[in-house]
Amino acid sequence: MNSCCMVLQLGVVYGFVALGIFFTFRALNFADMTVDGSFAIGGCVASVLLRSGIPQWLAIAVACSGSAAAGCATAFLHVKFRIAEILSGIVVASACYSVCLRIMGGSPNIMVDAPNFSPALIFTICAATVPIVGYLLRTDFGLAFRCAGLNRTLARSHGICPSSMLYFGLAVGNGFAGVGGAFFCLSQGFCDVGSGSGTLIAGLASLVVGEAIFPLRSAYGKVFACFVGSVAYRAAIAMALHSELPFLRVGDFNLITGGIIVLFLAAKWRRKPC
Amino acid sequence: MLKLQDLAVSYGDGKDVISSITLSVAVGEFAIVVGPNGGGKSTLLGAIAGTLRAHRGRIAIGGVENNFHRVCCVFQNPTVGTVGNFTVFENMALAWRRHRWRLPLPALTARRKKIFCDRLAALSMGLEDRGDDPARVLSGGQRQALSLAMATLRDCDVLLLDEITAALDPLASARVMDLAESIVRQNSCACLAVTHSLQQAISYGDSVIAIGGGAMVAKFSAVEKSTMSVADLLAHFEFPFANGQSAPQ
Repeated sequence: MNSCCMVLQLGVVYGFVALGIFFTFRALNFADMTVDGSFAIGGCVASVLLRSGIPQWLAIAVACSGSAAAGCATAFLHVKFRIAEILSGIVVASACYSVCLRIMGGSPNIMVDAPNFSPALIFTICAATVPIVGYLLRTDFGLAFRCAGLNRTLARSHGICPSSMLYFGLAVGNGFAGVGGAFFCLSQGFCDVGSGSGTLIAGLASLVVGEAIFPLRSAYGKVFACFVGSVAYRAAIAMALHSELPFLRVGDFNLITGGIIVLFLAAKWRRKPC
Repeated sequence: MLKLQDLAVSYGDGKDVISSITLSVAVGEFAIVVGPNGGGKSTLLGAIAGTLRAHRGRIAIGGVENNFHRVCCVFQNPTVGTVGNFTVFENMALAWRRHRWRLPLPALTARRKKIFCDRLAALSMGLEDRGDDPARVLSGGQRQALSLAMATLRDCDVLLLDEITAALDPLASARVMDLAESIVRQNSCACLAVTHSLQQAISYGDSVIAIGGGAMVAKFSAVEKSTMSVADLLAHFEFPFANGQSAPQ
């Protein structure tokens, strides 16, 4: 029972990351690699603020803003200096490591003292996020945002500025990743500067799994699928690692992740007619 | 009304793609633009749409200089003129707020859907019942008709059609050109339609503008073009092929 709760909690935490990746990869059609860095920044900022006695909600909000700033930095590099989208994300994600070290005062990991933290906060914010983001994507602004990613020529001819939308999308997407990072550190009780490593691939896997489980067209369905996919992905990982198969070890985590992504992508491809 | 005066456009390499074009298209006039590849047709449309900057000359749209917000475009490829992942209604909603503030307010209200349905029904392309279908599942002709409906959903002074039938079969081409002509008549906007089909240039529109070598070579009125054949029009294509190439047949 306790394991199920842990899987659910971790799934929802990484669901925020999947939602961030949905914003950048799917809605904006931008291959953003910043997530590994913005997840860590979110965790570091929230941890340091909590240690200094700042309220939880404020720490999470500031963590979200810090990660959003990392997203804006990626957008800046891409828009102003025409650096390729993947490269600009990698550069910022790499720089985030040093930023995290600075935030944590040079220490690579710190303990987080949050006695008042309750997992209910994670589920409450998740329950509020799904309808808000789903609604936003169906508004005039949401359509313009999605159009800027899917068809830039048409967007420009309709008076939409794709660059502004890129700033917005990367800020929001990485902001969600930062919220995930903050919740991760709060729930684990410690923060590590390298906690963001592998976040992108885990978030992407959650997104793919969610889309496979819930192939819905509605905006609400797509947002909800991020969280469901993340929980399902975490459950699959937990089952694989606890299956006590003789050939599986804890270090096989990334291998299992890769296998799950390939499995769901292949299933999606098989469903399409020739 | 569209007025161009001594327009010159280059791509920054010092060489004028359009050297000097002066023309005017009246309100409700459907002008067809023809010319060889590289003649400057698309550059001309880009300058009028405001996506390319003219380094000389003036562009007056509806009596106001450089009023590019009043220009609507329909692209050659229907996949560029619509968003394939959006439904037909969502595409229309996108066009509904063209060059206006886009606030986080519901895009598809019952009132808007009614307006969109009426506009789609007027196209007679069977789109009125497909409002909730993604645009990517529509046929090329339907998708181009949707592009036209989107471009003319709100008032515009100038409508630019950039080879809108290039990707369509002959029947769909005829249907879309008929549709474009009727929309221009109803909306009373000035229209410039680029085409490579000289038969279309003869059959449709109020005037034909021949462009080549970055300049306007000739303009034929409705009366003049009514007596012309494709061969007559083709004669005006000879000038850019002075380097030994033959004119297209």
